[in-house]
Amino acid sequence: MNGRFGAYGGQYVPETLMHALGELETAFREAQADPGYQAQLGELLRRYVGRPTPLTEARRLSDRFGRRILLKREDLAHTGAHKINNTLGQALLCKRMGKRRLIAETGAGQHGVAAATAAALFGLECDVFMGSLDVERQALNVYRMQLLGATVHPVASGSGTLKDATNAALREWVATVEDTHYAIGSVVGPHPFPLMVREFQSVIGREVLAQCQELLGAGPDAAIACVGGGSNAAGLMAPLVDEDIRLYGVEAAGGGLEGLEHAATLSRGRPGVLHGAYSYLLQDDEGQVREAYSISAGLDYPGVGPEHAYWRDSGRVTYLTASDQEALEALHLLSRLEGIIPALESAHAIARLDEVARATSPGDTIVVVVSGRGDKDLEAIRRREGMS
Amino acid sequence: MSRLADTLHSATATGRTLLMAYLCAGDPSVEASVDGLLAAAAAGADIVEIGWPFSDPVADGPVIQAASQRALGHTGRAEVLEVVRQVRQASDVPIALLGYCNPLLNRGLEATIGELAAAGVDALVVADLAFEESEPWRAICRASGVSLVPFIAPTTQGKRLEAIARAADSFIYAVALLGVTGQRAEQSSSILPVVEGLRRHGNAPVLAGFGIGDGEQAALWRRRGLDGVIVGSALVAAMAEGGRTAVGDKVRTIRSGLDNLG
Repeated sequence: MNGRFGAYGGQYVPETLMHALGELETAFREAQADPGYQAQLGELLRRYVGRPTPLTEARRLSDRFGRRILLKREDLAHTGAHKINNTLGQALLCKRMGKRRLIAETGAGQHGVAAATAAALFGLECDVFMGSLDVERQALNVYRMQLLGATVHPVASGSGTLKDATNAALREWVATVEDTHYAIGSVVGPHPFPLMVREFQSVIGREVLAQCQELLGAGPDAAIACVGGGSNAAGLMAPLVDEDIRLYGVEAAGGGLEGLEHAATLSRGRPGVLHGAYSYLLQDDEGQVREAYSISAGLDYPGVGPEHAYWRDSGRVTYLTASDQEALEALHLLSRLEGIIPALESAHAIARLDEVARATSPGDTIVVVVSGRGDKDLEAIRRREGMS
Repeated sequence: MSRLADTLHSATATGRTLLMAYLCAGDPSVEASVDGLLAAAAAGADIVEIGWPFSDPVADGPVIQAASQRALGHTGRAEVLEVVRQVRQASDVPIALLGYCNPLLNRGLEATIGELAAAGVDALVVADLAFEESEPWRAICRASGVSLVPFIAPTTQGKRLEAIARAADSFIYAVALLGVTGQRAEQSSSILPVVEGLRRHGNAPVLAGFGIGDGEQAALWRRRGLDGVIVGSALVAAMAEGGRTAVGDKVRTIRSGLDNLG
């Protein structure tokens, strides 16, 4: 069977999409082997995105936890998050396949902005599907996408969040598959998306290894990233899994793991099929998919990438959780100690430095991915904290 | 499954164009959906297709999405089985179960398909099960005497078409357009070359679904050489407007469209 990570992954989609998935896999494999394509993507990552992103020594944070902490600064990538690594790769593939239009789903709007950016750069039409609740919560990102020339379609069905936006994007793709590429924003969906998006994001882990080599003469002792769908984490971890490095993913515990107000798919979910892949899933006793919740709109997704499900079961990666409150505190901590305001998503990873520090020894080095910058979240945080 | 095989054989022998009628279990209630399905059978549907509501029906348009939402709160596995049982007790009409992977996998595929078969299901149609993933499902279905119905779509090509034709053990579901379920004014012809290609590899009846909602449209598909049509959204809409009476009326007009052809 195609595209499995152990038991997970696969292609659970309507028949209409199977031809496009085959075509995409072929285009992706050819592009991977094509030096011209690789050179073009590499050039874009350097001169448009600003890669390599820095690995910043976090001195005051290191003092705080008694470990050497290095921040992988995806917040400094163009558009303010790691999402651009993926959308540029997919937009290039879209052109290569002769398709003229890019569609995307988005939650907080970061992937939508990155997709709209790549579409603008390559002269592709772009339609972004976004839950109607998220459209309200992230009005500024909606305007950014519109400025970039994309059309944003609010999705009112279901709970009006990322899961529903993904359903709408899949339905749109089924109807327009002949001239449209669906640029999925994370390591989720049917094969080849989890593999492909991981490969595009693996630039994060490759740079971490090279930068640590230069700085330390060795790899880090531990590495940590937040996990919603899991693309920045997979991009960090894929190049590190064969090294002797402890790996940690942090999911959103929202209002707490006991109730239903969380997005801790690997910690509290069960295997099942959603959006084309067999992976862990937040679902009720009947196999109906539950709504996920997190203060971070980029983490509130009830599924997770199938490769994370595989790493979870094999024990290669340890998956932890951080609550809304812990993420907020971590956001304040990084802002005040290092002058870096992280996205709420990334703040979940910062929040579990305590546990990762405990699992390592004095003198050890820990790499944390700051997957995005916090500007998009400031209005929501300000409202929640009652400041004005 | 012999009920289904008999129906398919007799349609082929007599030249009758098949009609499969879909309603969502539990929409608006278990009892009402049973009544609607029986009304459809009485009015001339050859197969009834019972939908198992799912939270994320990506192959469905707004009408069936709304039906799923209406049913979900009070329709789980037990209620779906109850709808099947009640239809089976009252009628010998072949029953297809339309579902999505996750609720079917939820408590173990083998157990679930066994229960569905025991309740009276003859065929299983899984909207998000790609052919490439279907072999383990087909083996389990076969062991329970249930047919797993494969799909073709306007984009189906090449060697896959041959494999799909070979795997068919009752009929083949032809998705008649690029898109989700729901009646369309225009009837795309993009599936026709695919059906033609399929016929070179097998002779299982081919039923067209998606977008077909009235007698005239059904008649067009008969003229186009399909062995039958599948009607869903139009019946779900009739159910919402006028219950089983409206469903029966709608099925009768489609039936007469299929039968009264010059």
